[in-house]
Amino acid sequence: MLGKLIKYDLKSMFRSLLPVCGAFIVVGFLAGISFPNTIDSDTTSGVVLLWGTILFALIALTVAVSIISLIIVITRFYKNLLGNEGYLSFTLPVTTGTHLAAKCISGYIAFALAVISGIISYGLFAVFACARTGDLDEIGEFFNGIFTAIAEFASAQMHYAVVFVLMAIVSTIMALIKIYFSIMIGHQASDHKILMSFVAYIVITIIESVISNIIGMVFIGVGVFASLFGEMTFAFAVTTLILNTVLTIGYIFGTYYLLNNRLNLE
Amino acid sequence: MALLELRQVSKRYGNKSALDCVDLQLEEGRIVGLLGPNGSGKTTLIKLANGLLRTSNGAILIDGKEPSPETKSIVSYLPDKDSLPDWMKVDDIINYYVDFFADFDVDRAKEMLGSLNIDSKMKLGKMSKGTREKVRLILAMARKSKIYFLDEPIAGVDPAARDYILKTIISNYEPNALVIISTHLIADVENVLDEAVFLREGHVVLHQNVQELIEEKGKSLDGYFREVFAC
Repeated sequence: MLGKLIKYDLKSMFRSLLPVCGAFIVVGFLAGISFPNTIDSDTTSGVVLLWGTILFALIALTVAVSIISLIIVITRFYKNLLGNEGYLSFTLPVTTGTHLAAKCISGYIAFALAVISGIISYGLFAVFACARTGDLDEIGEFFNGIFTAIAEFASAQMHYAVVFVLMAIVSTIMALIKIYFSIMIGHQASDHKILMSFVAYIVITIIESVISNIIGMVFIGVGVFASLFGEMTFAFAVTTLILNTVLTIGYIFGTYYLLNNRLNLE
Repeated sequence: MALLELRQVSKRYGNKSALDCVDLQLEEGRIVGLLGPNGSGKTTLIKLANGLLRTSNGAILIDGKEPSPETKSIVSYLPDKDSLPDWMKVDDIINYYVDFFADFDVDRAKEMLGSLNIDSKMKLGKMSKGTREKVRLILAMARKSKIYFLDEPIAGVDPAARDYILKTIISNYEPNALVIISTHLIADVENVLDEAVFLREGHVVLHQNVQELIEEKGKSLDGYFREVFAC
């Protein structure tokens, strides 16, 4: 049943997301192939203007894909579970936990698609632009350099690398489930449910910051200044990872509890 | 054992009581009218039975079990809200029902849709309201369920569509199933009902065989309803 729920979530979201991601990739490619290989007095202003326009479109699409993917994921959760479609969704022979798991997995797939389309888009831009300027070898060296630096850091500071990877995983899970939790809190309001969801999100974020700064103050002395100067001890990193993991688990249980016990479809 | 049983069921929203200590037992093989004015608790009762709400007190049992995925697999629900996704075509929603409901009879559904000349490639969002209502009803009645909950199945459609809907209900439900029709349009449904349950302000004020009631009171079910719920 989980796979079927994910299938229909993705079918619904991909109707809007795929065209936007597709356009993003295409524009990245166009930005690459229209890149002026030299800019001098012989370069026509039309060539530069064309490339500039495409570059502007690429930047606009970068912002658009980020915002649109977020709106699509939020809208899918809201409409499919809390809107009129909820009357169909919650009468399927499926547990609340399965519904929540499906929304988390399909939400990440949607976000991952947006990120991957960005990587492909800018990758195509870089490759084709460098091909036009004859700097293709340098791109290879550039990426090789990055991977080598990462590998060297990971092998020299393995414990930090592990914590950073775990933090990345937990943070992405936390970001999505925090949104769902805020939506469910807003759903409890008798009126202005969407507004209350935004308020809940802001309040939760403030509480997170306060807790995080208190922990920072305990470990480093003055949490805010420490984060500005980038000082971080391994213990602080691990504590932050544990805190985020605890918060994520809390948001998951909170969302599940509200969906299972406080659902009130209009 | 009753197919649907409510034992001292209450549902409160803050200080307001939507259902108050309701006891009710409904057996299989009946078409039951759940009747009452707006706000009497009909939809709340149906939502509780479908696991869309939790009781404040008491227990609601479907075939002896509390609402769960297991009970949802034997209950077919036609809500009063249009719950179908606009973006799906008729073929898509049929596949959706096939995917999730083991008791969905796809041949029966396609036969009913075909008899109405409904294009299976048409998007649900592009249909008229009346056609969507018929598609929703067909999907609900094409399931071979033990219980059918039909919440206001004929409200908001024209008289010709109402006749089609009622004919579809009585000719397509499983013979041993329990069909519960919640409506305030009693005159249109009373000819198909075996039993009537009257709800007033969250309480069951009557539960009786319709034929017995008509003979006892000497008037139609609609006429008696108007008498009981006169303002």
